[in-house]
Amino acid sequence: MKWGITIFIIIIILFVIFLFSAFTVDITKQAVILEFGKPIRVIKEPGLYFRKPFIQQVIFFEKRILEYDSEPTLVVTKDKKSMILDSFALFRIADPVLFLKTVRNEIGAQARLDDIIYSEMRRIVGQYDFDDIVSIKREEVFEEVTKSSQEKAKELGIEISTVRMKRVSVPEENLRKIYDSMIAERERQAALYRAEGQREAQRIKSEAEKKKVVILSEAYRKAQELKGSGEAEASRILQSALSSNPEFYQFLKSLEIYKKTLPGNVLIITPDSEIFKYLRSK
Amino acid sequence: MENFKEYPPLFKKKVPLKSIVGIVLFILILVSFSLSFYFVGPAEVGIVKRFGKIVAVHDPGLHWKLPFIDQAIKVDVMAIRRLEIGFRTITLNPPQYRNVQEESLLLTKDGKIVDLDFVVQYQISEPVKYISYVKEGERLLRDLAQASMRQVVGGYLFDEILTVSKDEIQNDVKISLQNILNSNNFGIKILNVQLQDVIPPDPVQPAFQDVINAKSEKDKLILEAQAYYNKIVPEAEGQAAKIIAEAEAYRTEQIEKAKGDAQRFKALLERYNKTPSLIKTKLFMEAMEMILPQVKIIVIDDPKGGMKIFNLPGDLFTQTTTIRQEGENK
Repeated sequence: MKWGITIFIIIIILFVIFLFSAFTVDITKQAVILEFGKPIRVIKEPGLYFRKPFIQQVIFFEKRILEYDSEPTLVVTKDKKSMILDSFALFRIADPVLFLKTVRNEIGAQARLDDIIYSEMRRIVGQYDFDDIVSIKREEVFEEVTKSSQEKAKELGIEISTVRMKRVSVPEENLRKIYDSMIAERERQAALYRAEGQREAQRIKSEAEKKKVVILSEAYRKAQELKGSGEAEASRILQSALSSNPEFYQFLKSLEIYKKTLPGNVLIITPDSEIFKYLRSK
Repeated sequence: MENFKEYPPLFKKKVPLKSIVGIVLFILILVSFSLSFYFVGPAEVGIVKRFGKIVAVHDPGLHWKLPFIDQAIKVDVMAIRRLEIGFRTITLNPPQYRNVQEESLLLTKDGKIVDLDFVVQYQISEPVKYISYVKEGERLLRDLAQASMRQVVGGYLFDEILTVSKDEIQNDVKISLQNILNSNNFGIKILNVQLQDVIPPDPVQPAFQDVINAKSEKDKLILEAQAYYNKIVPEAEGQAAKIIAEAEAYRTEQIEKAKGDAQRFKALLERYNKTPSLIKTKLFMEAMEMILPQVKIIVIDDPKGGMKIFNLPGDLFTQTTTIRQEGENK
């Protein structure tokens, strides 16, 4: 009976020791074992582990990628323009012992990263012009911020994977200026369209007028040529016919003219006129 | 135990105790047994963790695990997830959206601002990575998608973004986003990045509308001018054709008349040459015959009295033919 009780007590004690000493490290976590407050071991692989109860202490840290998210901050570029940058960074706790010594926990890390990334950003953005940051050199700028932040964060046991810009913006009054210049540009464009419309319409209309004059004057020329050649031809034909007896032609033509002009008019004649030739000679 | 047989009440008490223990054990076994199995749905992947370590990845179906010790996580890998950036859907039916300005206003290469909404569709393609390497993957994805979009949009001119480069931008964002997800082991696959509304910001929209108006005004003016052209030129051409036709007619007329006149003259001349004075007299008389009835004749019997005309009564020129003798007036 005595032995039985002893064994039972020993089992209970062992079980309690087991409960106090066993711990699991999840795949998302890493652990540091402290002995009397001094780190003696880092566990990065997941699994079941043991510690010496009471004298060893286990502290867990995230092993996954974490996000550092800053407040939007106002920075000034080389050409003295302000811009609002809202950055965030992806980071991991690479050296948990160092991390523990320098920043203790994730909240501490956020605060220190704030200092690092903010000051690096101010420093580097200040070396570039506004337009460059917005357009061509944006990647270069943030690459640089990432690199120098990485350097400094290393001292905290933190590995920064990348620093990125969630927002790149401008303060309200600068926004107004951008809008104004966009509006002015559009207004120019609209005015240009209207002027182009006027000009083009005018061009087409004057082209039409010009064409009209050209067509009509050409037609006039051709008509005159035709008429002239007709008249020339006609007089040539007549001439060749009449030249055989011009006097008789003159007589005929005179008669014709009388026939055309005299009827309806008053004819004042003397009795010795040719018409009365026979009247007289009677 | 034998001794107690004499006391049936006690015996009777003991049996329920034993069976209670049995029942508890039985239930315990049953629970353990039921906890040893778990079901992975048709769109899911099952991941089994033992002491924090991943020990098995299961396809859809019924699978075994250690009760109490193993932990099963199920991840839906088929679902197409959707991230709205620049706006949020409030209700689908009727469609109602809320604009999120701080997400949607982006600076372009030429220092302008564009209002741009987009949607990212993604799937959890590698569930082991997804649960192991990234904390708050979805929140990070939103920030990364915005960062990629800003970076890509910053490489294009405002006008390019509004007009021709949408496909390029979508593709660029998709690629750059996928790259950063891969290098950080997110286990997320971007299916597509779709630009929704890409418009000028509100304050400048009237100016943009005015450009559209100006453009249509321009087109209208040009069309009107072309209509004018198409009216004026054919009209002139018609007029020209008329002028030329008339001239041709005139030419022909002149020539034909001349020919006729020449022919007639020749014919007359032929006759005239035979009996000149006869023909001449005949022609003269015929002419007089035609003319005289139609003229008012005033005979002044004084070859040198031309001035007397002025003394003639005015009505003489309007009345029908009368012959007055000079002598009567004397």
